[in-house]
Parts: sequence; C-alpha cells; structure tokens
Amino acid sequence: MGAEGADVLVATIKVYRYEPERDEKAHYDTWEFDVKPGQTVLDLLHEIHYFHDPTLSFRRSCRSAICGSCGMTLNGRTGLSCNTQAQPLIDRDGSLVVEPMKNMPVLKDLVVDMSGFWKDVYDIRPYLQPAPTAPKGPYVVPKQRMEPMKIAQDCIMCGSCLSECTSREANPDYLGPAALAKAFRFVADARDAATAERLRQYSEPNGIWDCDTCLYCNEVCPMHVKPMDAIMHMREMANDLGIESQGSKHAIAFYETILESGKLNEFKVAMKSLGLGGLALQAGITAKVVLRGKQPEIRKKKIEGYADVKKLYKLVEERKKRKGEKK
Amino acid sequence: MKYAYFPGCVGQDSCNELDVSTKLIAEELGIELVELEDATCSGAGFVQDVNYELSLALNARTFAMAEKLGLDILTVCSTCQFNLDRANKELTGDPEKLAEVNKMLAEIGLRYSGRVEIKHLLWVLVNEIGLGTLRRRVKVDLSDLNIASFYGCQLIRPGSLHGYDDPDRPQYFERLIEALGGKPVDYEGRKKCCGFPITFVNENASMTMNAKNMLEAKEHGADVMATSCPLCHINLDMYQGRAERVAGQRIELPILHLPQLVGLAMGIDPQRLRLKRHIVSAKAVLERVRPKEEAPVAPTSS
Repeated sequence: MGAEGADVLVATIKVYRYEPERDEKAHYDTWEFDVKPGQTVLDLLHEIHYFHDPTLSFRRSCRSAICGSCGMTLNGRTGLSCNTQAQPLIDRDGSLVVEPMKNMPVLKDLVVDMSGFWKDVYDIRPYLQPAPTAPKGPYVVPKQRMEPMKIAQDCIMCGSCLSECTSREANPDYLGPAALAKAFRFVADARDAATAERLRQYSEPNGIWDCDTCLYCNEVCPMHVKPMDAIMHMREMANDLGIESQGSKHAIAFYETILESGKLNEFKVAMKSLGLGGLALQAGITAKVVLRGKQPEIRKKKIEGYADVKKLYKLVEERKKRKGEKK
Repeated sequence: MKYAYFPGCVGQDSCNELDVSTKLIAEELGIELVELEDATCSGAGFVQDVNYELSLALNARTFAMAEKLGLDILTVCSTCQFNLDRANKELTGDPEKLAEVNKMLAEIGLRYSGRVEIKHLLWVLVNEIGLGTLRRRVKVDLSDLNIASFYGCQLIRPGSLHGYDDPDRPQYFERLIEALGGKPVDYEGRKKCCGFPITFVNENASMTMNAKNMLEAKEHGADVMATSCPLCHINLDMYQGRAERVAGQRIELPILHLPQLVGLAMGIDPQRLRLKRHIVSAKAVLERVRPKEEAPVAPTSS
C-alpha cells in the first residue's frame, strides 16, 4: 500500500522500448511506483521521463484529448494516454503495459512513423471542392445536411482506429478508417461538388469495400467518431449512383436475393458476386462442400409474408425518393 | 424459459448443423423456442450497404412479430445479433424514427412498440441457464481438449451497444468452456475478424487474417475452435484450405459451432449434432473425449 492511504496503488508499469539504430529487437522496461486515483497514463509516462529515464520517447502535447498526439496501445487497446486513467486498467489486468500503436512502424519507443497514415489522408483529397457557381456570400447549409457529418467531423487524427484496423493489418494498401472517415466528411458536405467523383475513387480496390466491418474503429475512437458507419454510408451512396465495383456487386447480389424470397440465397450470392470464372477458381471448395452435403439450396422458398416484404420495399423506396427530391 | 428464435439464413442452409444443434440443446436445457419462420434476413450488413432504411423496416417487422408473441428474440449468429440489435436500439432510442417505421408497418398490419430484447445464445447460456446448471449437465469429459473461442467481431463490439462482455477482454465463451470441463485458450485473435465479410472482395486479405487467427490459436495449444457465428464458421472451416494456401502451411483445426460444443459436453450423440458436416474433420476432437466418470458419492459423515 502506498504512503498516502488505501487509494494509492503500487503498480507495475511495463513500457515498450526500441531504438532501431541501437537495439536488435524491442524489450520492455519495468517500473514500480505509486499510482493515485485519477492519474492518467500520460501522467505516469511524464513521471518516468522526468524522474527515472529521460531517454523514454513518446509524443504528447495538449493533455486534453484535442491534439491527437499521444495515441498508444494501453493494455492491448489503442487510445489516448492523456484521457485514459491508469488505475482501472491496473485493477482489471494487474499491471499496466504501454506499447506503441500498431499497423505503423516504430521509430523509437512509443513513437511511430505515421507517414502511411498521412499519405492515406492526402489520397482521399481532404479539402473542399466547391462547384464553380458557389455563392459569393456565406454558404448557408441547412441544419439537416449537417447532421450526417457528425459521425466524422470530430476526428483529431490520432491514428487509434488505424492501429486497431484488422483489414489494414492484413492489407497495408487498404485506405483505412481515419482516411475514409475524412473522405465521408467531404462526401457529406453540401458545399462539395465532387461527390460522385470522390465515391468513384473510394470504390476502387483497397477503398470502402475492403472494410471488413470488424467495428474496432468505432469501438476505440476517443472522439466517438464512427469511421465504420461513415464507410457504410458511402457504400450506400455509391450504390445509389450506380458506381460498380466487386464490393457493390456482392452487396447488391445479397440484397436482391433477399428481395426475391425474404431470405439470403447463398448459392446465388456466390454466383452473382464471383461470376462463373470466380466460381471455377473455388472448385476445390465446392467439391468438398458437396461431399459433406453442405451445398446451399439453389432455390429458396419464399417466406409466407413475402408480399409484406415487397410492400415495405416499395414504401421505403418511395420515401427515399421523396427525401432525395427535398435535397 | 421461452424465446422467439431467429435462426438466421446461413444457420438453416449451408450451416444447418447450427440450427439442428441449437434445437437439440434447447430441448435438453428446457429453452422453449418459437421459431420466427416468417422473419427476413437481418441484412447482415449487406442490405444495410444498399438500403439502410429498408433494413430498419424489415427488422422492425421481425421485432413486431416477436412482440406479438410476447417474447424476446434469441439469435445464434454474431452478425444477426449486431444487425438486429443495432436496428432495435436505433428505433427504441428515437421515438420519431420508430413512429416513421410504424407508419410503414401499419400498411402490413403490424406495429412495434419497442419492448423486445435481442439476445445471443452465448449470453443466455451463461446468464440465464447459468454455469452451475451447465456444469451439472456435463456427461462427457472434455478435459483433454484445449478449446479456442471465436466470438465474431459483432458480438463484442461496440461494447456500448451490447452491454454484456468487455470488448477488450471478452470472457463469456471462456467461462462457458470452463463450465463444460474444457480448457479455454487465451489468445488475441479470438476477438478479431475472421475475414468473411470481404472474402468475395479481397480474398487474399480475408485469408491472411483467417490464417493468422487460427495459427495463433494453435500456437497457444488449441485442439479445436468453437464459434458463436456461422459466417465466421464458413471462413474458418469451409475456407480453411484457402487460408492454408495463403499462409503456406497446414492448419487442420476443427471448428465447431457453440451449440455443438455444448451438446457434445452434454452427451448428445455427435451424429445428431451433425459433427460430420464440417469440411475440417472433427474426428480428432471425438477421439479425445470420453464419457465422464461418475463422481463417487461422498460418504456421509458419521
């Protein structure tokens, strides 16, 4: 127990250390000191830096979850060290482990190279592209057009979402959640005139359709931005504009089979998404599937209330049309 | 205990062993299932990609049917659970939106007032049947098996939607495996993505994550994996050969559905649980389980 009473906890803090020019591989340094209630992980890193080891490198600036500098991995989950309290993590896991963000190369200790992150942000053209006929005075945007942007505009570019992105982990070329959330910020902007062009660009391979919907980005964002929701919105908008891609083919195939019977038709979705050529490449799987009797039904029986499904579809489409006209 | 049962499309088609095994364990455990035969697909995220409003209306129709029965909904699929519950909470949290959807439902003679809860089988087994009851029902010794769980992203994230498990340290599956007498495997991949949603878009990326999770489980000693999502099952089992090709090494990890694992522990005939339907043979699993020896009755103290 610490000197100041029951609330103070003597805790073990493990910090990732690595200096590529000197170290062959990374190691962890361990400190043990008192952790008081309310202390943030950043407070503890400062304590290490000032009193124990001034060579420890980590990025930080505002200490108020505004600048987005201090993203790191805290007991396995990426977040800002300045707005994450240490004690609840220590209570849960027994110790505190501080590591650099993932999916980005380590420069030194807790500092990562974010150039890949920034390249993706630049690639989506993160600036307004207004129509040539933009008004001379203030551009008044109706309130309801501002609403959808809420899920993207608070991004502070900390990189937490990219650090946890499972699709990026498997495919370094994937644009990633932060860049795509920023993309949506402009797609949803009433003043931007490049919507269709943008959506065509984002629908290319390694764009919106490569998101695996794992929800990590929505989960870890310290600013409650919802990159995955932003990506889903852009998919629907791309479909509305008839922008074709492998991903849209798959989603539309899925959607259409549900409109045919009320249930998913796995067989048809595979046929329509992959085409005969793609299916031929899957011949090995098909053979095994048939051997085990796992082949999906070719024809799906319509559910009893199928007429109701059709009716709902019609009603929704009419509403969507009315809404589109209002815009 | 009675639920409106939402089997999901894949759970009754290519993975119909999931539906069959769910019904078998439900009967054994006294969970009465009233199947929502007339429900549509939850949209699985794909209908949402094309027409989000339609997915809300279709799912509201499903909720209205369960509400008419006076029952909460039971799902056996992480993807169904997320898509249904997201729609449900969006509607119940926004009276205006609910009123709009109800206007459409009125045209097909339905109404949803927002009283239905949606729960996954995993949560019902742990919280409502209870680990103690499950422990007492175990008839087959699984102690020789290291069992890796695989949750499926959408059953644990976002934590704020579900409100059950800690999304960083999910424990429901592990506690269940322990209660069934197996040894849970601790590995990071159990909360990651199987890759299924992008298998048809970027197979290489999908198989890269698929292989990585399974190989990590094996490195941590897994003999078998159990999943709470049939879509994960497709990638983990049906596509395991493709994952092996991308990884350049054999994986050979049998993948069971959650209720198959429960049924196996409870002594239900593996044939009835359709354990032979998997692409990766579950034979090695069956070879390592044996009927549990009855615990000797403790002598009464004199």
